Amino acid sequence: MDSTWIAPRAGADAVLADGDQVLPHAQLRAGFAEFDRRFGAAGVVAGDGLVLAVVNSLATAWTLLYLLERGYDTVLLPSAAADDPVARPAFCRWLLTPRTTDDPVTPETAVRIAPNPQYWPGSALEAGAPRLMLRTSGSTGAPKLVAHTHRALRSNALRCVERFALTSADRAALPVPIHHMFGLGAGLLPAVVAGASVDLQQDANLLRFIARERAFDPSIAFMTPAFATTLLATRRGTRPYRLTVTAGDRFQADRLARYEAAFGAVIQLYGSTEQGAVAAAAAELPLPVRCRTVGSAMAGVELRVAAPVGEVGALSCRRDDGFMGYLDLQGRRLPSGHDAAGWWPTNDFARLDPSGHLEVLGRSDHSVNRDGLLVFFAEVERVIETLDSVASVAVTAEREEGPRGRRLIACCVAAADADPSPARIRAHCFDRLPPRAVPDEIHLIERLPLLANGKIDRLRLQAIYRGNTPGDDP
Amino acid sequence: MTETATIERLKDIIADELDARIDRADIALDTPLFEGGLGLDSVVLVELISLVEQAFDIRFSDDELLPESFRSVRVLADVIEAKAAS
Repeated sequence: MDSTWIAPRAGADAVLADGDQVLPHAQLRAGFAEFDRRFGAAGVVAGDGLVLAVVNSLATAWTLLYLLERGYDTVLLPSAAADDPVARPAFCRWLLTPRTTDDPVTPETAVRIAPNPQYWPGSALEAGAPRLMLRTSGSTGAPKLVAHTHRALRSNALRCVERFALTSADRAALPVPIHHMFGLGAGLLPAVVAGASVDLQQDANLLRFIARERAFDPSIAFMTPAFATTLLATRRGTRPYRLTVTAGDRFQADRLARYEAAFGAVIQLYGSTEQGAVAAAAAELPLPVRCRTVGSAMAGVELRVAAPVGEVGALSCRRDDGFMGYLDLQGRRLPSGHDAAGWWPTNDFARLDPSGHLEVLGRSDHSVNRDGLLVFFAEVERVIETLDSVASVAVTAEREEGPRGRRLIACCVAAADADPSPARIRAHCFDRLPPRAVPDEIHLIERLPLLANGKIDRLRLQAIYRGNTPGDDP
Repeated sequence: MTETATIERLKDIIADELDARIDRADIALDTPLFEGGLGLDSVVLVELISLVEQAFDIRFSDDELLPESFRSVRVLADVIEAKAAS
């Protein structure tokens, strides 16, 4: 196995691009010697930790590849977080800020190297294999870092290359941030190790995406289902890609099918900051399987659902090259959550079909116990989504109890020119779901509130429907 | 429709019809619609395109969905008028 990230054999035409500038892989590689001189002159020595402020730019990607190539312990922070002293890890001596001017990117101009004012010499990482650390907010607030060895990231990347059938002829559009595992671990790094070209898009929206598409001519794209849906809603023409990889949320089945008809094969990927790519469909799978599931486990990953095949249960995974654990900002190790046998709970509920395809039903906190059995919001959403009169739906539960348990609420957005009645939506649920899964209330709302990452903002959702008159209170 | 009327209508759409909580007073002619300006995100942009198409009875082709055309209210009004006149 090649140990370098930018393969010397990369296709002669392979480039990294960001809308301002395009650089061939070979030139990126050649520039590492100049990076060595600059880092040496600044006083950076082996073993130092570095924080890299990340934007989707050529300068960031070049610096990141250099740090990986030379085996530095590196923390990636979104640039806004890197500006915030509170967010900076105390165990990092250096703060790296990629250049944001319009001057050409060179090893001299790519990145500003400055001492990290929050560096505290008493804090240190345990010595060990070089690590790359990503931030996760967790559900309880305190930011923590997820540490991966460079080696594990590389094996994750190679498995993505295989699953996506990436080659040096591919050109990847990356409108998703590379400080997240999806953009980094499934998008940028696999494309680079495959010797493919990459277009990094900062502050992507559909207009910029379409404009970049004309200039860069991508063959593969990585995006959230929410972003794919904006393309589907606005573009008139078709423009087939070899492959679109989605992650971050479930892609509604009928939208995925319509997206595919206009823009080429879609596969859904399932993963996390901790586990990298866990499962992904292969483009060869039949469309219904790709709509319903995230395909089978990646090589080296085992999946375990705490239920018989075909039934829903809590999903755990175990990988041969898993994440090392969590760290706090002082570099202290926090519990990783693995059990003694190496299984890691994903906090998602899922079902494995007999062929080993994984259907993820949503986070374990997106379910509720009614009539003594679990009801998954996603399962109810899927049933309501089959109504043509409903464009989108999100299900949530109230704290207060109804006769079957916590009250189940469905918030529906009407399809254009449709006027669905709450009573009809409930009747549809009654025909297709057990009584415990029929929502107690249906609310029609203007639109679903989304978080910055494109996922449904369920907290805001409750505020919105509480402001509405109940649609159909039984 | 005069240019002023187009601009006024656009401001109405952005302030009153878009689900983006934008104050009419914050919309200057050259305020960028995205970062560093009104901060419209991808989802709101889809809504804006659809509202503009309805309000002015036009339809943008893929080739016309350009970031430059949506740079500011002034630019978008010009684009709408050129399109309505064609």
